[in-house]
Amino acid sequence: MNDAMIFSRLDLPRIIAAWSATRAVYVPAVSGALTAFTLFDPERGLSLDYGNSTLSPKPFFFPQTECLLRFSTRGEDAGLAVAEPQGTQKRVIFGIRPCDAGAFSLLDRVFCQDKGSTDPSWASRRARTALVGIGCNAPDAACFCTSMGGGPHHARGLDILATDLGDEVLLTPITDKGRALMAEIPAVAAATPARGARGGTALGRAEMLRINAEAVMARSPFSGLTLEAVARRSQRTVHALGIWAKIAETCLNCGACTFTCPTCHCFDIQDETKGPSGRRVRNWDTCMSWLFTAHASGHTPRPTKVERVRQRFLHKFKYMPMNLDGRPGCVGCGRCVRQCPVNIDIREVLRAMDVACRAAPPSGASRDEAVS
Amino acid sequence: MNPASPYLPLPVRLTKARFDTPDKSLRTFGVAFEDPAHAASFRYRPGQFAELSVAGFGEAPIGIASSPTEGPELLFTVSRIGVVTSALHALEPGDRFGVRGPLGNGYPLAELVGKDIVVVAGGYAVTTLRSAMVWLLDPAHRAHYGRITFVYGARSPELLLYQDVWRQWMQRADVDCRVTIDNACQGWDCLVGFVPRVLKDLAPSPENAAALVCGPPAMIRFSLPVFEDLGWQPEQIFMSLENRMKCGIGLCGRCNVGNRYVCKDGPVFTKAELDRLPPEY
Ligand SMILES: Cc1cc2nc3c(=O)[nH]c(=O)nc-3n(C[C@H](O)[C@H](O)[C@H](O)COP(=O)(O)OP(=O)(O)OC[C@H]3O[C@@H](n4cnc5c(N)ncnc54)[C@H](O)[C@@H]3O)c2cc1C
Ligand code: SF4
Ligand code: SF4
Ligand code: FES
Repeated sequence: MNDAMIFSRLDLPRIIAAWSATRAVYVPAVSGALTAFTLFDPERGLSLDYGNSTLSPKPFFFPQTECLLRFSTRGEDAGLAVAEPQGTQKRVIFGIRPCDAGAFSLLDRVFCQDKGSTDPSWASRRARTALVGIGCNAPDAACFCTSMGGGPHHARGLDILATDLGDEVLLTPITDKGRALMAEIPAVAAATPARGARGGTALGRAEMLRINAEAVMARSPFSGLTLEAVARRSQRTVHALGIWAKIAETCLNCGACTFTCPTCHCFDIQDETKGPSGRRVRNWDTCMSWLFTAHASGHTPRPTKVERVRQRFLHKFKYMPMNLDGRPGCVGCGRCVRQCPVNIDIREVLRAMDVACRAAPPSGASRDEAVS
Repeated sequence: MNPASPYLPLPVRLTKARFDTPDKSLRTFGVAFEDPAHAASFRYRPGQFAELSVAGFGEAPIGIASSPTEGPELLFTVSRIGVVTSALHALEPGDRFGVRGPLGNGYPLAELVGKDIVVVAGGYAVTTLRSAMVWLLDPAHRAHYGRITFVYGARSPELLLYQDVWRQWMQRADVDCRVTIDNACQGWDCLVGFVPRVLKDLAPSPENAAALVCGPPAMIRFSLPVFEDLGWQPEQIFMSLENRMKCGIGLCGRCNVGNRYVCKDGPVFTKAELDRLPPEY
């Protein structure tokens, strides 16, 4: 099945069950106020009635804690490290949202830069995982993907884009991995090609849903956010803007924003030993922490929360776009907006950056282009 | 770099170690790879660094003090300041530990062919400049450069590293070697005064020249204006940064200065580059 296909909604569990025969398939599950991806269970069925997962699905590729290598502390082999083998389990994440898929396609460029800078576990997990995303028909008030180069029905990073048409579902394969998954759909699921006459109306409905969702986002008071002015100013200029102390004023440096963010990828490396064996693990870390940059001498380049808060926003809105062909390091998933205990809203920060950059004197002396 | 995983250190043994200072805070290590194939694959340039790994304690980024022209053994000088560096100080000759690297860009010595080179070092930050000097003075390279000047200072004579090598350089006609301590003391036969002062007296010409500068912040702060007054351009001055690091390969997001990662894009930057980056180091 190379092309988009329409299925009855009732066929979805059957399709997923077929994929489950050879893969671990994860689906969204709502439990109280929390939404998380869990292993598909035919008994429990499938619910498409969810917003987005409360925490980002980044642990599928970048677990919060992960063993990098093992060693023993005693005997002949003491101190000899061996790399932790990569898993082989193939996986499908069904129901991932387009913003998160976009986040992972962005992080591919962070974790797999070149031969010397490729994270083997990220690469392995990405290679053996297929992403089947569902376009958002009803974006949340905190969502702003359309301002970050994405959209509620965008397919970047997805292998298959699913569109929820109500009693029907449109599956559009995006990549070869997606086409291979489509080919595994059993014949019992009666597919209608989206190209035919009946399919035409379905495609029309999908298009309407996309336009609707984007229109909802356009009505947000934050629509039309742009990085243009920030891009025009040098990093020194944006760094030196007078806005940062005020923005950082109420921040607790708790790190909830970085913890829930699908694009935050900073990590720490620590050794753990127990008796004769030990392992080196990597853990999520946060630029909000003082320890993040503190030297052993006590010197730190980011001594107060003002520098740390500024780093988070500059990383996403200035440094990553400079390094990644203009792509911002934020996909507008809205999680940090929802989770921040003191209501720091990244959209307000971007607006403040935009306004201040427009007002800043031209920075001829320190253009970014020269730094490459 | 280990092909199995960029996080996997190569096994090495401590060959020799000596404390450089009476307070035993600095220790210089000779390091040999257990596997000759690893030694052959570890191709480094002066100015690069490695993560030294002690199983159970962690890793610390340390500049490579040896020059590749000196053979397969590596040299590191480590200041004991925290968890990993203390574990490194506790190793005995023959003990196994790990080396991950080489990391970073190093000094662009190949691009500086034909130029006069001024090396300015302060305190134990002299490590990678030792590497650069040994490389430059190697018979295979010396003829490709103009005048070579080495200015090195520390608070007192016992804090000066690598006496054996720079005493030899002092005997050579093809290098101007000026070593200084902050205050005069008994038995000291070289210069007295701060590095920026020595630099000022020396007044190196910026004409077709490059400077490699590494030392404590105060030395940098007072040396840069000396260069500026002599007409040196920011593009001619190479500095090596030290930010806190973990991965060493541009992934963990820890060591950035603006959009540049000290571990991968650095640690060596020209002053011109640093002038365009936010001052976060
Ligand atoms: C490129 C580079 C070259 C260096 N070269 C040398 C050298 O030749 N000799 C030497 O003695 N020291 C050097 N350092 C500093 C050295 O890395 C730290 O002193 C060391 O990491 C402290 O580790 P620790 O575990 O003993 O201290 P702890 O306080 O226990 O430190 C814990 C962690 O902090 C980090 N850290 C602490 N201080 C620093 C620092 N100043 N710079 C970077 N990371 C730090 C390390 O990642 C370490 O794992 C260099 C640092 C960098 C970045
Ligand atoms: S969640 Fe809010 S308070 Fe916590 S670190 Fe992020 S911005 Fe600061
Ligand atoms: S910065 Fe906030 S809105 Fe942007 S991707 Fe991260 S959590 Fe989502
Ligand atoms: S040390 Fe990890 S990015 Fe530089």
